[in-house]
Amino acid sequence: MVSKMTIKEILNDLIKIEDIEACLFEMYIPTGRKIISSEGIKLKNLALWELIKGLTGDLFSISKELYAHGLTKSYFELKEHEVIMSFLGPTTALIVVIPSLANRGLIEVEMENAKRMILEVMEA
Amino acid sequence: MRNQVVAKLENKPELKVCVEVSREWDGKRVAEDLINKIKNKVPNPKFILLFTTIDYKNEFKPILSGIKKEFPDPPLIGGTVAGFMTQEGCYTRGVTAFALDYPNMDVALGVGNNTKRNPKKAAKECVKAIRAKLNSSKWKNKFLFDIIAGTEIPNMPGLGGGVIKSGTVSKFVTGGMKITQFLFQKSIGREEDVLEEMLKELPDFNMLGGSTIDNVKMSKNFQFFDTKVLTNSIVCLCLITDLKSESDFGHGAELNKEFTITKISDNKQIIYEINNKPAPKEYSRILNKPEDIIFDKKYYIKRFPFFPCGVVENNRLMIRPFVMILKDSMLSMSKIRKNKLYTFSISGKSMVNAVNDIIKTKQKPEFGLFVSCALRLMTLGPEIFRVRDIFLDYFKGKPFLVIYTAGENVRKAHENLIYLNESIANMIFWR
Repeated sequence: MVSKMTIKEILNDLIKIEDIEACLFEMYIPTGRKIISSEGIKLKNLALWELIKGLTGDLFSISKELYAHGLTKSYFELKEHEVIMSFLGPTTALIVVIPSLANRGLIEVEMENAKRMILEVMEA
Repeated sequence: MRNQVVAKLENKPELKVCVEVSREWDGKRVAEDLINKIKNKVPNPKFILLFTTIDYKNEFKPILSGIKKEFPDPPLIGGTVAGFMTQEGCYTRGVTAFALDYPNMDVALGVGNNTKRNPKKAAKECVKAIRAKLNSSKWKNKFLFDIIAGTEIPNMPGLGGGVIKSGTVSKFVTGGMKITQFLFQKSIGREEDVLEEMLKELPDFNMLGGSTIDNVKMSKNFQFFDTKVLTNSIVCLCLITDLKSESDFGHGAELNKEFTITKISDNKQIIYEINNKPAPKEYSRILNKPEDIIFDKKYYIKRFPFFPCGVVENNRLMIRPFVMILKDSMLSMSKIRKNKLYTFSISGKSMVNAVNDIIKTKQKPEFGLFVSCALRLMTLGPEIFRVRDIFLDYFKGKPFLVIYTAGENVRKAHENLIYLNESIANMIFWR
């Protein structure tokens, strides 16, 4: 079931969850940057989403140093939203935006499922 | 096939159990998916348990009617949960079905309505249906699995976040609790009132159950009974069988400071005073944490699982989280029957380890049912996969199902009911 899905389909499944406002898979590789987005986002603050996407390069410069020490996630708590970055590699992450009052633990279980499925796709 | 051969060699009746998961979104496709999976392993189930996350609230009808069309005879009960765990994985979005076929078993269903308006009547309706069907059973071991409507917080101005700072709104909520329960069947679940009444008439039943919930927003939850989608109801599956079972519960908490409740509501759920002082202020002093941080209006709904108290009954610590702060009082998710309470310490590690303590039976399990608090799932987040690893190791390929609910209940025959929060309760079955 899992291996039949593409990364885009995995993200399309994730964005259907009520409290997930936006999600993205991003990977920095020597030849450039690979971004896969879900079809549509629910986040109304598009400027924030563009800002987050623009900042990932800077964040990856930190994550690639910390990944060797076991970095798995980073969180940014904004006023109305939370940004969760779940790392699949030193410069590869699943990025999700949720409302600040959402139940993060429940969402992170599905992020973990998505992460495992993406890893299977990448390994295949 | 191997199980069939082993059962025949040992001259035991064949037991077929499966726990299946569908991650489809469309109700019809969910039903098809589950039907195909169940038919492969348990072609003629004796009963089906079905649980969905609240994401499927517009798909309940096609899911239930699809499954019942294929399996018209076996009874089906279930409801909404915050998540579930099976051999396949841990999920906070999806649908799961448990199906069983075993010849040495009689099965009956019970349903009671209006649990919040009239819990005693709901209990009597439920027991009546069970008693009528099971009086003639030849098997000895009696087991009851209950799914009951959980707490729903009324949606009204000033109630967001679980903290009400206005004295007027607080008085309206506490004073109007009985009115909202009667008219709208909102507010606390009254699970203990229903279950205790039921057990008066079923003293020889082992029991396990949980309260339905959504994605811990506590705005709406549902119960399933065959093709019916119910609210404010209890649905029960009663099994009388030669299978043996053992139950327990755990949480991983350790006692800390003791304190005393000096004023509590008649229903034992609203604490007005601790140590003769207004409850929230005194509680924050005992916890040694600033009141404005633990009772922060914005974050309380996320933080309340981390500030519960504990009560000791029958030498076991039971956790009691405060789901709402009402200016000068605190609303517990379940009854607090003792005046002496405790703060306690609990960690992610001890929450995970608590699972090891409840699967201690040395019998070779055939399958296991677990009911765990949604707050444990919310708190552990993706670390919940560590709990699954423990179960995979213990069950060694045998099926198990964990549902995450608003509260859990467990009881051994002829003993008192234990109603829990932030805990995990189980019933493990063997031959």
